Amino acid sequence: MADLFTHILVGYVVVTALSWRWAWISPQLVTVAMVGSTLPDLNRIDLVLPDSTVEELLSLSFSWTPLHRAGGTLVMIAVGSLLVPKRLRRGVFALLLLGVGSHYALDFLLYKPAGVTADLLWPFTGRQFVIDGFYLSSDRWPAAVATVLALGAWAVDRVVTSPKHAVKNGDG
Amino acid sequence: MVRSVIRPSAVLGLLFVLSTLFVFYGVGVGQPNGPPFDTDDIADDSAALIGEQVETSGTVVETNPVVIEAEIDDGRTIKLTIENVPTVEPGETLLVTGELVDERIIGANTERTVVRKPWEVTYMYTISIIGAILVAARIANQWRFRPQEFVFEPRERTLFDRYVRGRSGRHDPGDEYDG
Repeated sequence: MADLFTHILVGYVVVTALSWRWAWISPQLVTVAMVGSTLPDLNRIDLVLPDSTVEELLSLSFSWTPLHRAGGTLVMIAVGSLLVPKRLRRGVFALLLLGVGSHYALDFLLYKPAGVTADLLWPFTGRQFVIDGFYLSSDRWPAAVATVLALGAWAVDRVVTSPKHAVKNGDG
Repeated sequence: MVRSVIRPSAVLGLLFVLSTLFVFYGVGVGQPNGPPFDTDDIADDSAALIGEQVETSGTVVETNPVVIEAEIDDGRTIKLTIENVPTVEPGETLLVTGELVDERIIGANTERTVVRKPWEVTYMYTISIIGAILVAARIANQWRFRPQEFVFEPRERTLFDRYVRGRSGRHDPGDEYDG
């Protein structure tokens, strides 16, 4: 994982830019994509409830890791889209997927000493990809870059969504 | 009546699938079998991995020689001696790859070793918590939960508009989206 702050801001930048093209992506739905960008990191529940504790309780082999793998995240997206009114479901599903996609895109670029990624696409494939990533989740610069991009997206969004701009473009 | 049962059933079904994934991953179904082998592999059967490439991380507990304490999935830790690493201090975190030269000794690839200061780990978690608060605030501001129907739906007026601006929020296409 990159740090969660970077994931969220990158999700915000991507979906905000898309909202300029597709007007149905409202500010509420921008938030949905930001939620999507956090979903894989729900595996950090292991800091509160370690795998070993659950294994002792259930007497079963257990790991929270699938929350940070493609299969578990897809299930979470499906659950999330069932927790909104029917009219919003498809949009919420698409935007959660977008947020999750931006999360994995960043995580594929994480630096790993051995130069191979985790099995992020499990259970569809256990394959690890040879990618020599270029940042660590403890680096400071990704959050700084993401903050600058997010401020830029926010500023452009203020102009694009202003009533004045809408009138000028015949939308008002 | 039937419709009111379908959605909760689907959610429960999906949560069952998710639970199955937790167990399958815990058992090791479909996971890569290295190299690079990880800390759990070393803890399970390090004798069989001597000469293989491994990747691990842990907290420095001794410096001469350098020994790290690496956590494994069941919550226990193992101590590993790391050769060929830069100067480190106790409490720092090492991320290393290299050859397992003996059952608990790794000949690290120095160029690819990462040393993390304790404050960098604190930074990583602090900035992540700030991010989580940011998203939680946006959800609370823009969405509301209807317990009777167990759904989240967009607010017609955000909390910010209602309590800070004190006027109607801007027109919100999300309220009318019929996707």
